[in-house]
Amino acid sequence: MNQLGFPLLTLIVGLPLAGAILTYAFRKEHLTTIRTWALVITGATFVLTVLLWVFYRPGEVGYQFLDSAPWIPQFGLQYILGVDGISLFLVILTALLFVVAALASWRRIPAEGLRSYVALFLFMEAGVLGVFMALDLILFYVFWEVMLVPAYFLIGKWGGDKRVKATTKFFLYTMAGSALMLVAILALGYAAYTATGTWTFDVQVLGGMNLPWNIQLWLFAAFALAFAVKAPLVPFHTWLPDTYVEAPTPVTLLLAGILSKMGVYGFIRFAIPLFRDAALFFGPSIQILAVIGVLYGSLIALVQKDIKRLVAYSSLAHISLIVLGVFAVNTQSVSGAVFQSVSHGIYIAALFVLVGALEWRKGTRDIAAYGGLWKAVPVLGFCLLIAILASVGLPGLNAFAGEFVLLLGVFKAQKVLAALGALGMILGAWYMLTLFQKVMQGAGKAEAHPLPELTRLEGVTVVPLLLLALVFGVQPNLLYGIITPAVDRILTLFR
Amino acid sequence: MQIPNLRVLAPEAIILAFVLLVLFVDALSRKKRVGLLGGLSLLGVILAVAASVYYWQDGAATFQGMVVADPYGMFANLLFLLAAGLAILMGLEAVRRFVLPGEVFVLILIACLGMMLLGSSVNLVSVFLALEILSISLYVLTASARDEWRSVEAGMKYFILGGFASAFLLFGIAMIYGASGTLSLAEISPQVGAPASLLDNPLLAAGFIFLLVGFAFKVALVPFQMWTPDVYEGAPSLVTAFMSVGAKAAGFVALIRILETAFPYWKAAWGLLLAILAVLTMFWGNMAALSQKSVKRMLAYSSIAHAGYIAIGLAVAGRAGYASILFYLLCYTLMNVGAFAVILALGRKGEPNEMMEDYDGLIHRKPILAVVMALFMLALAGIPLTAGFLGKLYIFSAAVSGGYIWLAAVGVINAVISAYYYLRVAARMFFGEAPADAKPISVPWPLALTLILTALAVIFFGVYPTPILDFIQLALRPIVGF
Repeated sequence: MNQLGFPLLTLIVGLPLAGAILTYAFRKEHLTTIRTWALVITGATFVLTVLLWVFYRPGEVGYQFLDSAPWIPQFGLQYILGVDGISLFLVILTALLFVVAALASWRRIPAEGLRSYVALFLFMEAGVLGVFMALDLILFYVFWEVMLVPAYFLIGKWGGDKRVKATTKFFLYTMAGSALMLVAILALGYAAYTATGTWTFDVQVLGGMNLPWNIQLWLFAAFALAFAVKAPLVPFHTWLPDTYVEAPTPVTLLLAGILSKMGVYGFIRFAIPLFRDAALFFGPSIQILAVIGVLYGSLIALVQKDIKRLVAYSSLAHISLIVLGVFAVNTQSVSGAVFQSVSHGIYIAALFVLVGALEWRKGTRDIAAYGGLWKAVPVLGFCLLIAILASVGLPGLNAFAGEFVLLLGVFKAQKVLAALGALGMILGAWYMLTLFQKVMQGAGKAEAHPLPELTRLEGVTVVPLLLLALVFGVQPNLLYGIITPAVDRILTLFR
Repeated sequence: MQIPNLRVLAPEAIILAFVLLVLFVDALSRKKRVGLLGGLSLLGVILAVAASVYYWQDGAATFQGMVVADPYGMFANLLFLLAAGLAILMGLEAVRRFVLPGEVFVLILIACLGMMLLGSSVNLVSVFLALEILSISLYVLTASARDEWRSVEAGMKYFILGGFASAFLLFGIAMIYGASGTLSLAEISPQVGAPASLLDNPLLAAGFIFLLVGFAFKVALVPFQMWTPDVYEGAPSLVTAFMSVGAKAAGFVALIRILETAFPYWKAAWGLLLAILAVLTMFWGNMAALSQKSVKRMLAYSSIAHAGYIAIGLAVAGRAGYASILFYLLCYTLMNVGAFAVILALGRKGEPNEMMEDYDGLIHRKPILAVVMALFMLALAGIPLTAGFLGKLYIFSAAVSGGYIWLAAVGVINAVISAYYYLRVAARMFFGEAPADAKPISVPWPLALTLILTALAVIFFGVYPTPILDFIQLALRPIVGF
C-alpha cells in the first residue's frame, strides 16, 4: 500500500530520467553547469530515497509506497513499483553511490563528451533504481535490460585501452544470461493464466502459485542463470575482470557497488520466493559455487599486480560470500546477506574512489610503482586504511556486522561451507593488508613532483562513505531493524 | 458480367488511378519533376489510406467473391500503405540518383497495389495474380539502377528465381484445385472433407507444400532464402528498404489468411513444419549476419532472421500467434525503414555508405544520425523500451501460450546472437574514428522527416502499443472469429 498517497517511487525513477533528457538543454561548453546539474539531480534523488526511509513503516507487512497502473493490459503487463525492507536500503544505496560516482567523475571525465556522459549516467541511474523497485516481472526485465545500454556506452567511450572489447563482452554476456529469463517470465505469466484466467506478471500474485516440481526446475534455472551472470557467480564471472578494469573508475564503482547487487537482489526477490522447492534443491550447489568464488576470487586477488584488478577480484569474492548467505535460506543468513550487500556497496565504493585517486596521482595502477606513500599523503593513506579495514571485516566497521551474521546463519545449515567462507575472509585480510603495505609503507619511490594530498573534493567523496561504514558498524540495528522483519516475512513461506 | 463493387476495392482503385496519373505526368513532362511526381504518389497513398478507413466493411466481396473488404484487409492495406508511403517519402530525395526517377514512384505504387490485393484475396487465383503484380514490380525496381551492374544482376537473379517460385506456387494451386475442385479459400477444406491428416489426401498435401514453397521464397524462409542477400545488396537502398518490409509483410499477411482459412484442420502438421523452418531461418540469418562487413548485406541477413521470428508466430497459429505477427510486421517496418533511411542519408552525394567502415565515428560527423541509427539497431536487437522488444515479446509470449516454449527459447537465444552484430554498428559509430577526409553530412528534409517519424514511432510503440493491439484484435476477427 502507498502510505503517502503520492507516487514517490515514480518520482524517484522519473527524476534521473528527466534529468538525463534535460541535460541536452545545456550547451556542451558549459562544463560546470553540466557537472552541477549531475550533482543536483543525483543529490535530489538521494534525498527522495532517504524520505523513503523516513516514512517507512517497519512493522507493516507487504510492499510499501506502491505505485501501480495498468501498462499494456493485452499482455497482462502492469506498471507496479514498490519497496520493502529488502529493497529499501538497496534503493538508498543506489542513489548514494550515484552521488558518489558523480563526485568522482567531477574532474576525471574529459570535457569533450561530458554532456553525453552525464546524460547516460543519469539514464543508467533511472534504470538501476527501477530494477530494485519493479514488482511486475516484465517491467523488472525491461529495467534490467535497458540499464545495459547506457552502461555499454559509458564503458565503451570513457574507459581504458581495451574498453570496446570489454564493454561488448559485458553487454552480450549479461544479455545472454538474462535471455532465458524472459522465456521463464512468460511461462510464469502463462501459468498464472491457466490457473486464474488472466495473464499477470505481478510478483505479489505469482508468489502465491504452487508450480509443479519439474516446471520449477527449469524456470528457477533460467532465473538463476541471469542472476548468476550479473552478480557474478563463478563460473559466469569471466566478464568481470576486464569490464571492471577497463571501465572508467566512477563506473566501476557503480558496477561493483550496486550493479552486482542486482544479481543478489534477483535471487532474494524472485528466484527463491517464486520457486521455493527448486531453490532449496539447487541451494547447496549454488553455495558450493559461491564458496569456490570466495576462495578463487581471493586467491587470484593475492597475485594481482594491478590495484584496480585486485579490488575487482576482491569484489568477486565478497559478492560470492553474499550469495553463500542467500542460499542458506534462513533469516539470519539472508538478513546478513542484505546487510552485507549494503555495506559492501559502501566500502567498495570508497576503495574504488581511492584507487582512482591513487591512479590519478601516479599515472599507473601497477603496484610495483607504489611504495611509501604514507609519508607523502598521510590523509589519503588513512582513508585507504579505513576502507581496507572495512573490507577486511574489522569489528566496528560495517562489513563485520554483515559477514558475522551471514556466516552465523550459514553455519546453522552447512558448517563446512561456513568455515570455507570464513577462510575467504582471512584470505581477504591477507591480500588487502599486503596491498596496503606495498602501496603505503616501505621505501618511497622518486617522484617528479610531490604527490598532492587528498583534495577537498576527494575528501567529500570518500569520507562520508567511511563514516557510514563506521556508523553501520557500531549500530547495525539501524538497518537490521528493517531488513530482518522483511526477510522473515519472505521466508515464512519456507516453513 | 457483374460490375465489380468498387467500394470493396476503393483503395486499390485509387492507387491504380494514381499510377496512371503519375505515369501520364511523367511521360508528358520534359524535365524530371521529382517533387511533383513524388507528391502525387504520396497524395495517392494518403487518399488510399482514407478510403481504406472510410470504406471499411465487414466482409463484402467482389469479383465473384475473390476479393473481400474486411477488417483484416483494412489492417493489411494500412500496413502496406505505410511502407509505400515511407518509401515514397524517402524517394522524394533518393530517386534523384536514379536514371528514370518517375518510374520508381510508379513501380512502388504498383507493388503496393499488388500487396493490397494480396491482403484482400480469398481466392487462390487472385492471390497468385496479386503476388505476380507485386513480384514483377519488385523485379523491375531491383534492376532500376540501370547504370550499376550490381543492380541489374540482382534484378535478373530475383526475376529468375522468383519466376521459379511463382511456378511452384502455381503448380501448388493447380494441385489444390485438383484435390478440392475449388479455388476459393473458404471452400477448400469443406470440399476435401476435412480429413484427419493432410497426408490422407496426397494431392492436397503436395499442393500445400508447393504453395508453401512459393511463399517461403517470397518471405525468405530457409531453405528458400539464398536470393535475399545478393538481391538486397544489389538493389538500390531505397528499393531494398521497401522490399524488405513490404514483400515480407504481404507474404505473411497472405499466408495467415490462406493457412487459417483453407487448411485449418492440419495446424499441428504445418505448425511443426513452420517451427522447424523458423528455427533454421533464425539461426541461418543470424549466424550469416555475424561475419558481414557490409551494413546493407548485414541488414539483408537480419531480414531473413526476422522472417524466422515471424514464422514462429505462424507456427503457433491461433489468435495470439497471428496477432503477434501483425504487430511484429508493423514494428519491423518502422525499424527497418528507419535503418535504411540512415543509410540513404549517409550516401546522399554518392558517398560510400554500405560498408561498416563508412560508419566509423559517425557520432562526430553527424551525432543525430548516429543516435537514431543506434536506436534502430537496438530496436532490431530487441532491447526494451523499443517497439522491437514488444514485437518479440508478443511473439515469444504467443509461443509460450501456444505450447511452443522451446521455440521461444530458441528465439531469445537468437535475439542475443543478433545483438552482437547490431551492437557492432553502434560500436563503430560511437567508438570509432571518423576518417580525416570525411565530408560533412547534411540530411535532406524527406529523409529527416522519415527518420523522425520512424524513430518516434519505434519509441512510442515500444512504450504504448495498446491502441494498435486493440486494432489488431479487430483485424483478426475475420480470420479467427471473436
